[in-house]
Amino acid sequence: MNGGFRVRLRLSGLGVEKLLNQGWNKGIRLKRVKRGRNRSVTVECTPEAAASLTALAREKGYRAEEYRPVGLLKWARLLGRRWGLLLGAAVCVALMVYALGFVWQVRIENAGAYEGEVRACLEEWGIVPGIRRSQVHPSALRDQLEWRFPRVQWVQVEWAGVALRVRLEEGVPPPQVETAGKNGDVVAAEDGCLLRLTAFAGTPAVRAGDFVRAGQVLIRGEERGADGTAVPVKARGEAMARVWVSVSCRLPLIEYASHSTGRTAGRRVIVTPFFSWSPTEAPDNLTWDRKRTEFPVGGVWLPVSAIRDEFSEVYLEKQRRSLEEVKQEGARAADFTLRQALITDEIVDKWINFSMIEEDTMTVTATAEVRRDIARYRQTEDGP
Amino acid sequence: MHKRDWLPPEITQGQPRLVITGRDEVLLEGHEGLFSYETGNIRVRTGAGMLQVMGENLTIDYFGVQDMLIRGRVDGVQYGGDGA
Repeated sequence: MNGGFRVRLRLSGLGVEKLLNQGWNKGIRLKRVKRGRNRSVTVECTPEAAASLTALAREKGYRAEEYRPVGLLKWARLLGRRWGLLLGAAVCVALMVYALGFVWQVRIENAGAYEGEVRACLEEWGIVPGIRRSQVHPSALRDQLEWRFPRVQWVQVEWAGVALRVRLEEGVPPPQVETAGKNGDVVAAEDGCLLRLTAFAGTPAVRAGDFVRAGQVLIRGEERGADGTAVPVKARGEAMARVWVSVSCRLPLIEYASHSTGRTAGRRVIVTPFFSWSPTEAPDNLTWDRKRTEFPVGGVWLPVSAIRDEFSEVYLEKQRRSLEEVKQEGARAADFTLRQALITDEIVDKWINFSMIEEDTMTVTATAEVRRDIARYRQTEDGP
Repeated sequence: MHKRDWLPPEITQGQPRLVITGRDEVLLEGHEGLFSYETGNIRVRTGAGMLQVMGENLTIDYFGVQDMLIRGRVDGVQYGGDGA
């Protein structure tokens, strides 16, 4: 039986089973035969079987009426009567397919400091929201980016729905290779208190426990030969030292507080990747506080948003901040900056100082003690 | 042994084949037509006589040339001699 296009018939009359049997003798297959009221049954069958069964019912004096179409036929008839709905659905699907042919978003991930440069580069090549998808070739774009950014380890360019995703992994630069064959000393890269000095080549010039200054020779680039004479060599070694690193930040003790004058204004803006439009202009030449509310009109498929800006006119008043609050904020900022500066070092100790040398400004200094290798090779000028 | 003895009786002798699944479904293969239909009682002609399916809310889910599938709450199945 055709499973898609079916109709439901209601057959009624005395001994309606005989009618079903006669239909059965003619090879009519029925589904969902149900007993109804008043000696009637409802059956489901194909439209052709329904026509045969109706003709047979009329011939034998039974009553047959098409009760209701079911399955796909029901939807076909429903959409046939509402052709506007069908047309609308077709237009929607066509628009969606058309919209899917464009790049709606360019996402740059994990680019770190390169993000702005990568975005500018893509814009230079015309890879911006709104470009046709067929004009973007991810593999070619990946090669271009890898060529343009040699310090990036690898680039991944792929489609994520209607977005183009560019993912970068920054390479770790290889350590500076010392120039082989040149004689020279190992010096201190920064001030510190020496904890351990290991000389692989050359003669140690300081001892553990010494305070050394930046540039001071730690391992001299010479060794005593078998005959007692000094032979110039390329000094090599490791110098672990306690080093103190400080960072400072300045915070104003004065701030401006805004107070509403009572005047308000509103504005609605429609924003798309290509343009934005507003029936009214934003207020200018005055000081306003703005509250912005964004509604995604097109859902996840169409990046169209309706933005509502509520402006409230304010006047600014100069006022002094709480000293405790500034101290806390400064401590947090200095601590964060210090951690960023020492991201690869192990911090042994740390403290924070506050000073108010300048009027209306507080300087917060965070200092940390770390342990690191301060040995750096320096070639002697008169070396071979 | 005759070769026909190897074949099942529903093929060689026109006997019906009845499959009852739980108390919800009765599949009848090789029927010879519907005799009467009520929601509590369905009688079907078969080569073995009148088959009566008793129960509640019985519906004929499929009424084909060879097969008939009855669904509903099945209380009993019984053969009778009349009307065959």
